[in-house]
Amino acid sequence: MKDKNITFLPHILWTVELQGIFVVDKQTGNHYFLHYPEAAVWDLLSRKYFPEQIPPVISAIEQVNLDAATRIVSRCLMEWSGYGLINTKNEYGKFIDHNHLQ
Amino acid sequence: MANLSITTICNKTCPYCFAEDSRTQYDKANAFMPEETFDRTLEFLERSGIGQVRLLGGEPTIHPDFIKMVDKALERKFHVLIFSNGLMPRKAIERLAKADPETTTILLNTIHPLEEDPKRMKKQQKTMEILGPRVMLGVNIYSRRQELDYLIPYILDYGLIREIRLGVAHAVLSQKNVFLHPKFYREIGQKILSLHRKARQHDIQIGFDCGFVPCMFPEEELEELGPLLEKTGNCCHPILDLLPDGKFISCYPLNNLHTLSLDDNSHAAELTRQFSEKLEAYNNIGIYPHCTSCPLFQRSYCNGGCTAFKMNRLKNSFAYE
Repeated sequence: MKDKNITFLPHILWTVELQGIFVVDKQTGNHYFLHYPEAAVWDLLSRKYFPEQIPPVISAIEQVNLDAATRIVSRCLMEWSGYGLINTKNEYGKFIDHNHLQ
Repeated sequence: MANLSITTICNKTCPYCFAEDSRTQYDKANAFMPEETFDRTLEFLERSGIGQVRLLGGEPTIHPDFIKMVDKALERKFHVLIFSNGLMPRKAIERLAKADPETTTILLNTIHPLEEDPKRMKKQQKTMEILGPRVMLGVNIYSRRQELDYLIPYILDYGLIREIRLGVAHAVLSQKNVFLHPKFYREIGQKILSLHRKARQHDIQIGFDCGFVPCMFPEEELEELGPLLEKTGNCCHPILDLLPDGKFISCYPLNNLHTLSLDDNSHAAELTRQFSEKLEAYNNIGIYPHCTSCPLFQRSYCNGGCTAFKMNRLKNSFAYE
């Protein structure tokens, strides 16, 4: 469970702004502004949190239940993978090891 | 606007040098712009409707063909602006001393007293004395400890152009140079205001190079800056610096980002458009994390400062690696 299964692609750069995180693909110039809570997901990934460790944090920050937080994280990973911002080894939605969370 | 870097060689080592990244890419054999490239550049400027030849380096006056280049540009009715440290070879000074101040300006980058280099400061002053009304003073601010008051007596004593060009030392992309971190901009803003007040008493104007932002100055004193305020905020754009080998870069701090070659059809407007396209993504952030929330940024009054510094804010690494 402790293998790093999410990586940022090397041409992806980001910086923390007051209201979120600015992400740019330096190869294409495509850029995105991640507001919260998506910015928090990005930040936690950059701090080497494993995907399954993120929903409890989002749940606490956003004051939502764990299922809702898990959906936020899943959506983020799916979108970012689609945009070519991150690499994921696992299929989306299967990244959470529920046993690990308990 | 386009700057011609006719040499990468310099007789001074400024800690903040913006040209550091590009200068280190050239060996001595290729450090001087060949005459043929210079001639093509004059054609490029004429084709682009640019009436000014801006020579810089390194120290442009040490190019073996410097005088010939100045003469060629003047013959073709260009205004010539030379970015120099004032430590010029004797022949260059003699030639420039004969130039019409209406057609030739030397933007002399002063040695700041902090550098503790009295010998070279004296040599600069000699250049000011000889070239007098052709000289406009400039200073690059790279330390919060820099006072700016020393400039006014030079202008009064040597009869120089009554304008001072202020520049902020920006970080090049490699960050190998000394630069003024934006967290010190407000301190420097106070010093600029103080200089502005004193300069006004002597009818001396202040001019800004790129990268100044309005929030350097206290809000309650913005009105006092008058038209000077309009010169801040929205001035980071591709300048077009042409390197000795005929390659354009957007500007010195962005040397490592992208290059375009000079050819017989090059036009400044098209080159600027191509560089602007490359930089477009970075217009969405500023030098500070709070820029995107600032009304001046949101209204495009301010573009958030130096693009090279914005790019240096970006990272791709795990936070604790």
